Amino acid sequence: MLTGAEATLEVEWKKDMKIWNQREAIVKQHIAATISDSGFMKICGKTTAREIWEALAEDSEKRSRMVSVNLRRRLQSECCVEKGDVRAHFATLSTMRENLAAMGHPPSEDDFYSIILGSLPPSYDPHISAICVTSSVLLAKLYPPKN
Amino acid sequence: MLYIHSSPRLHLLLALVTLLPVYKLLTSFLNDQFVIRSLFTFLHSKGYGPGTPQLNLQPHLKSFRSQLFTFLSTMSTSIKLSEDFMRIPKVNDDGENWVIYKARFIWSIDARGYVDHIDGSSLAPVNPVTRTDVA
Repeated sequence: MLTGAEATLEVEWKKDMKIWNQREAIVKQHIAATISDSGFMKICGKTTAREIWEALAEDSEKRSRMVSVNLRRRLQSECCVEKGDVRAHFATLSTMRENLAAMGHPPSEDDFYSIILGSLPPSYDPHISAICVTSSVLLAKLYPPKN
Repeated sequence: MLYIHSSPRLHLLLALVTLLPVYKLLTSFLNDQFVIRSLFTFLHSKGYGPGTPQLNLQPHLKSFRSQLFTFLSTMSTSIKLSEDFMRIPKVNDDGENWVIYKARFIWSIDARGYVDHIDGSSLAPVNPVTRTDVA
């Protein structure tokens, strides 16, 4: 049998437990509402919100890594054809870079710089070398235009 | 019947008696504000009445609004018991927007004060009473 003090303690605990369960359920519901059905099937066996979040994070980070590696490869192999639209090409490169940044792996400034210079058609070569020489003589770095 | 057919005055009386409920019904129907207003709107949209037709006023604006609505309803979700800060993007299956989703999720859950359930700092309270007599 429980003593009077123990009974009070247990009532307190039940109250705490109820609040905790409610908060837990809100967090779970919030996660469930923002993931896809297939993602939900993977995590519905987990019991606590913390376990659910960790499972989701592990799964998504793995996938995200794969996607970003793939995109990075595509960014590096992106090339502008001779007589192609250079503006459209630059826009594609910037979009890819932004997507990579959204995945947490943006190419560094230097990488992107060399990707851009390398992706231009061969007819730009004299122009590019002239710009590079000028910038090195003037000790100025090439920056994208500020809007 | 023969008698009715023979008297024109009775004819008139009969016609009045039959038409009165119909008339009453019609007037009560037309007195209804909503009916009149919708009738006006309809006529107005057809080009009758003063001013330009209202329904064709800004079709591009309307489509933009519906587009915005579709965008919001597909891209985000909101939980009823909270406000706008619960509205965050859905995470894609391929993990494309995971980094953004993660940050925004933690922000929004932090805004509600539940972040301790995610980072593991809040554990379920342990029953202080150890029961030995429970069968």
